[in-house]
Amino acid sequence: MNKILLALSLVASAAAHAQLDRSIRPTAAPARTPTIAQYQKFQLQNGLTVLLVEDHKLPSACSESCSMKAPRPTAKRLLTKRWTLSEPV
Amino acid sequence: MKNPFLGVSLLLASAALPLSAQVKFESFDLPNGLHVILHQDNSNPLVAVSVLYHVGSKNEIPTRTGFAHFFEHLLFEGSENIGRGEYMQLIQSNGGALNANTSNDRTFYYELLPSNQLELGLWMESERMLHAKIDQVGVDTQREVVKEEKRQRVDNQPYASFLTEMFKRAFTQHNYRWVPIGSMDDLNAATLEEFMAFYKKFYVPNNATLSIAGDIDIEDTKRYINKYFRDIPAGATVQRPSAFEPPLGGEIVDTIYDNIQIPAVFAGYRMVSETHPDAYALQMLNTALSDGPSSRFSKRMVDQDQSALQVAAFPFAMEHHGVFIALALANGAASTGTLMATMEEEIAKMQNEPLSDKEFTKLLNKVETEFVSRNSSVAGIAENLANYHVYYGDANLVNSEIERYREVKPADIQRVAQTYLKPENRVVLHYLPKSAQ
Repeated sequence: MNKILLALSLVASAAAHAQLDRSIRPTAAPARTPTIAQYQKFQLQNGLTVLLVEDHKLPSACSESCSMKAPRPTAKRLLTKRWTLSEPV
Repeated sequence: MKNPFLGVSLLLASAALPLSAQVKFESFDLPNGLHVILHQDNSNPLVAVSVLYHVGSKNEIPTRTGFAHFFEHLLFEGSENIGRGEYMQLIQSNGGALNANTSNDRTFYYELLPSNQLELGLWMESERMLHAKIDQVGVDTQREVVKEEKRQRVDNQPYASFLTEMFKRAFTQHNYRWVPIGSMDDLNAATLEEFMAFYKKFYVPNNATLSIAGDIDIEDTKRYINKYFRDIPAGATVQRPSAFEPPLGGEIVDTIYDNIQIPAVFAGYRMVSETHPDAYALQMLNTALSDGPSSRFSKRMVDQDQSALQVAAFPFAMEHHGVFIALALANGAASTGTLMATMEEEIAKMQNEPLSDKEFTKLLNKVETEFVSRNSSVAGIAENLANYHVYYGDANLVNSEIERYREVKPADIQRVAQTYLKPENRVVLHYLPKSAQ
């Protein structure tokens, strides 16, 4: 009886410490539906349509064509660029 | 009006608000020494997974330079469970992007993934850390890739040898005397055993920081990290190279004949490391001299004198030391000597005349914008958290480092210009066309 218990507990502990089978590739979790932006739309009296997106992550604001990320000077970027696998796009 | 002070108190409150939303994060160490940093931001279904190995070209030995950069390439060759070429294929076919880069101080790998593929990214990074494929086929392949990279990005680019030429003169003892691309002769001479030894020595959990930012669930993420990283054995304690380097001890001037048509001058002033308190004033000094068309170098040399096509400067700050590099490309018949003399005049003004309030405010504005924009993406946040942890020992500088800039006074900028930007502390390289030889 004791031997059986011992064997059972060994099996149990072996299962608990089972080596991770690293050849099993993780599969994707369910994809989340992105919410790109909540926006307000309104017109000024002169007919100009305004689209307004609130995003308070950074203390910066911009109109249509600007990027939220300030571009770094090109020369500086080229010269200080670190070695990479491929040219950054 | 019920409360006449309401307007005033609101104003005060808004002035005291922090610069931007705080980047919240948590960090911990696994028993094998792997440092983990997690930042949750569920705005977009994206996640950045990065591993920073605290090994760069300064960890190499003088007869085997280029190893860290070589490993940036080699560790994409696959692992025991990932086939050759599969790193890119797996990430890209799952909607992700990946890359890596190497500096004098670190090797950095990252994947940007749809957040439901977080586990894939962690599995792949753990495979790289545990048992990357280091064999003769991979070494031979990547050796040719690296040679081609050097041919494209250094040998075939005008002026691109300047860092190599600058650093070998600016440093005589420290391993910063060579640059990450290293020597192709060293890579040719290296044996497979030497590459394996370098991997075992440096690409180990106790020399790595796993930084993850984006659309994650903290508990799930910890579970995956335990699953894939916990059993990776720690390596031996990593020996760090000496930081010692004597002062330059006098100006060094040299001429480099390059495949160029337009002469240029590069001046490199030895300066402090990125973590030294003076690094902040030096950064602001650089902004004054060279950042944008209203900077002093640009207004003087490009607009007024029209002696330079382009002028630039940047403080190349590293973990142990730094080099403040100023450079100018000649316009028309202007000589490199004239360009250097004009840069010196502008530097002398910084040393001798205090900054106006208006210019100082401009510098601070620029520095604040730059600081804020660094945290505009989850990829940027993951990288910044890792850098601040590894080099500064305080990941929270991602939020608070701006205060160090705000402590800089105009007099500090004047002082660092006097202390560091002096002739006996610099290497000047005159780049001339080969036809002038």
